Amino acid sequence: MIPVTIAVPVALISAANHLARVIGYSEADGETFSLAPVVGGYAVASGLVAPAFVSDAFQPLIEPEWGADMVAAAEAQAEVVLIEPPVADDPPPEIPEGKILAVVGLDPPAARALLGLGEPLAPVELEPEA
Amino acid sequence: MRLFQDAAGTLPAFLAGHPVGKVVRAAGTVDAAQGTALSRPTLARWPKGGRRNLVPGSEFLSSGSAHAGETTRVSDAEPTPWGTRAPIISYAGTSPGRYTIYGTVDVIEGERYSFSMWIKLISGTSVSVYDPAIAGTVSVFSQLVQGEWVKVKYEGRVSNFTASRNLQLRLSDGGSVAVARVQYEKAASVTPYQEVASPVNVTEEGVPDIWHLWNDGGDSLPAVLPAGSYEIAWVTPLGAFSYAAVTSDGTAGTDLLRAERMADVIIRAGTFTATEKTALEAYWRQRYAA
Repeated sequence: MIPVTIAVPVALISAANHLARVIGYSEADGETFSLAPVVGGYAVASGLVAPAFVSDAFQPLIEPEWGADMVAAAEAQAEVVLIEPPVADDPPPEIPEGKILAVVGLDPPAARALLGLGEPLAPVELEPEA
Repeated sequence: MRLFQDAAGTLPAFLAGHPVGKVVRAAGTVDAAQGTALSRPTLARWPKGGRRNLVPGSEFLSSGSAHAGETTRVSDAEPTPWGTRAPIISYAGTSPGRYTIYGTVDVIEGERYSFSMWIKLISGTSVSVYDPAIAGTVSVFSQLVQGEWVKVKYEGRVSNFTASRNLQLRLSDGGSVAVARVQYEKAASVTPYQEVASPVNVTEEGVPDIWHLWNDGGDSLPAVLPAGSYEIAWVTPLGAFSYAAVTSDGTAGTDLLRAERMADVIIRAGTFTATEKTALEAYWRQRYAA
């Protein structure tokens, strides 16, 4: 199992749900992005999946036995962009707007931070010097 | 409770990192299940008392280098006194090399942090650590004897605030070092080592494991309860307990995943009596609180 975080623009939630229904494990995966919290204009879902879940997202789609809107799924598939984490000293990657963003291999908080969707740290009062 | 990776309950969940798609009750009449794969919580374990080591992997060194081609990393190369094998980092350049020790760690301005690691100098003369959050601290460990494992550390207060940053391991030219047991914690001084195999799998020698479910955001475990009123009690892996009243219409699922990290949950028809709460809280304190 590998960690994956997928951020879907709110306008693409319906299409992305159909893509999840096609490449997921059951028809229940068709609700993935309706159940996901919305952060910064994106529905963000994270979890552990088999490697095939990720590779299938970039392969020709096959209609599952429980059926799916294949046109909508294909439209979503065309918008998927894999965001690679930078190597140590490299600058952070550019995040294209309006795309379905996928981060593989990072735990969810790190993935959300990479996409600019992390929660800000709470401010703290400085301790007085001892 | 029995845990399964899938909603059908065919594949047991028993390792840290397994998704949990079904929770089968230890007693009572209700199970919880999540059919949507990315909405399933993750099975996790932390030492009793919680996680102190903030690095995403204590035996992990990322592959970044400011001098690509001059710094190499060989995994599982050097035996350690603890029966594991540590990576060896080598630098063959002519100016101070850099190698990122670990991935991002969030820090908070004004707070104290401590760093420790074990190193074995294979060749070269010195090893230094550059911590950009603590006013550019460069801790130089030059009193090293080749071939010996030693524990090095430093402590300081974050004054050069960044939300997250990478530490840099710097080697002298021709230097080569094995590194193990990296620990970075929000504390004034170094505490016993916690092994971080991953953020959901943290262990500490001699300290019991606290298994729990981790909600990474948007996860849920719905259970369809018969119509009526209930009270839910739950506890975090640090021993903090809470209660909530819920009402079921007999059709819609009630989410039993009540916290970001949840070690146990009990649902009772009606409400808990004061006697029941006292007994439950005492049990949970003993089991989970440090």
